[in-house]
Amino acid sequence: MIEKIHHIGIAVHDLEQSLKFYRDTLGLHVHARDTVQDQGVSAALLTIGKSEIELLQPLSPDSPVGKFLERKGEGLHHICFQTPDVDAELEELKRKDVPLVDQTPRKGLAGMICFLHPKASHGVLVELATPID
Amino acid sequence: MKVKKLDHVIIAVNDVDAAAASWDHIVGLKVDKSMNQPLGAGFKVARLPIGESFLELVQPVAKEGRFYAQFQERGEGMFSISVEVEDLDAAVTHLEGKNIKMSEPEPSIWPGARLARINQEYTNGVSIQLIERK
Repeated sequence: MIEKIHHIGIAVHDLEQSLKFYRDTLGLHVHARDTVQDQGVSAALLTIGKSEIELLQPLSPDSPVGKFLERKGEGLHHICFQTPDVDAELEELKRKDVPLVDQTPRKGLAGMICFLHPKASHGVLVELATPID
Repeated sequence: MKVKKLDHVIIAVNDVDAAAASWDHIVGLKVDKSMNQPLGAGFKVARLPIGESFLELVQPVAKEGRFYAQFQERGEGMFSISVEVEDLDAAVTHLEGKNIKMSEPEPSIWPGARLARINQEYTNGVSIQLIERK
């Protein structure tokens, strides 16, 4: 079961520069900053209603977000939906032969997460997340 | 300016019905409203509610207009986000005061709502519209 849009991920070249618009001009509150080495990103999480905007700056050009920037430039990167049970959700997707990036949930910025393959959703990269308290 | 929430996420698709079937299949989202060329716009649209927001699937029909031109360039995928503000005119004044270029406010295809678009050069390549609901 999907509860809400947890966040929208946006790929940027320079986190500090992007905050000038999203934080300073739009007025969104930055509630967390984080770096996830194994995903190769430095991120700022901004609150928008009951969802978040996740600004993502790659730590290296060969990380997934780095490759996205190289190929497509800055912009909308993925959408993440919150579910109470990412393990059950992933099992269900496997049962339905939905193309996946992750075969098992892993720890990400939003909790325990997994990514689906964009061909499952007509070119949209979808993430599922169960926040960890 | 006061931002209330992420109102909706606009997703460009080749075929609204096929895309809606996929969203139902992978995450169980359902269409609650669809429209064919609302307000004379050259596209079909379907709304899939999720929490306080919705996904808006948009399929070009007419081979002209702003959406069609961008769709030709970018193809299927996440297209734009719509951010709800309390007061659209105040938000436009605020942003223009910071030298950010905005489109003129116009009626949204969603009844009772108005929107204005922020020029993408200020938003790290993200197409963002501000929407006010009455």
